[in-house]
Amino acid sequence: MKTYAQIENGKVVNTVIADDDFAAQQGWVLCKVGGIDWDYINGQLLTSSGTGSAPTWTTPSTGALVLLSTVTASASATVDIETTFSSTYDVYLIEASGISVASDGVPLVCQMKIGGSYITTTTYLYHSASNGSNSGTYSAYNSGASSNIYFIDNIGNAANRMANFYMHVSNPSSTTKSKMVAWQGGCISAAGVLFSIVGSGINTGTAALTGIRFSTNGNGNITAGSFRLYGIANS
Amino acid sequence: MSRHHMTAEGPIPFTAEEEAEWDAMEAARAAERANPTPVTAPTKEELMAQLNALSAQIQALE
Repeated sequence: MKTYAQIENGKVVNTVIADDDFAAQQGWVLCKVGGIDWDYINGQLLTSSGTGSAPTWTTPSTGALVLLSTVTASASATVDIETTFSSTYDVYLIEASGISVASDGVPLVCQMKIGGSYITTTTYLYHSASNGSNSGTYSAYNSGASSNIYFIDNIGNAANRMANFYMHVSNPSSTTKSKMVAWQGGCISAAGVLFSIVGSGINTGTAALTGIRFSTNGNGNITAGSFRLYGIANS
Repeated sequence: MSRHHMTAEGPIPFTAEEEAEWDAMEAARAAERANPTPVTAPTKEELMAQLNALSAQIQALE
């Protein structure tokens, strides 16, 4: 005989002492001996087992995205996302929101920390489509030998101007592949034009990547904005 | 005012070497803005090539 809880409409309406078979037939849920605390592991959820079966305690999934760190710019020359790239996830996601800048009409660039140092040599290749709300003509920024990835060209510094984007970082811990990022987002320029941004870039280095550094490429500080790093669950 | 790298653990001040490097880069950018690289005008040959290409496209539509 053990203590079981009777559940109706998602609420515990009573606790009773019964044997296992009878309780299972009734759909009652096991409590700890004494009947006060549930017989569950902290953090578990009560999950339906279908019509006619008692619900069971199960450990919930952690979800597809795991927040690893947040960096909030505050009149910062650079924003460094380093906490923490590892082999835990194949793909990481950086969500950048409300990015504002001190100077008007400045770009946003990024550099990769590979093999323990931020790479500043001309080993970056990229293509970033940057299409304005004032034109139907395709335009882009590209390079086959750059000292950074120049992915947003013109962020205005008026109060209502900003940039928002997300960036995927794939296989940072690989020691055989070049390091690739891909981004999508938008910004409002100095002239108030919306630019839609999408592209990808690499550094030819093959050592492990452990950081991404954002800056305005020497055009003043990043005034504000949040950069959140998520790990994307492999399964 | 001294610059910093913002990280998840907080701001990390620039080293003196980084400050000097950043000063030089900002000066270079300011100079570029003051004297932007002039856009080279297309040559006659380039314009003719564009014209021929457009003519071919128009003929294809007729």
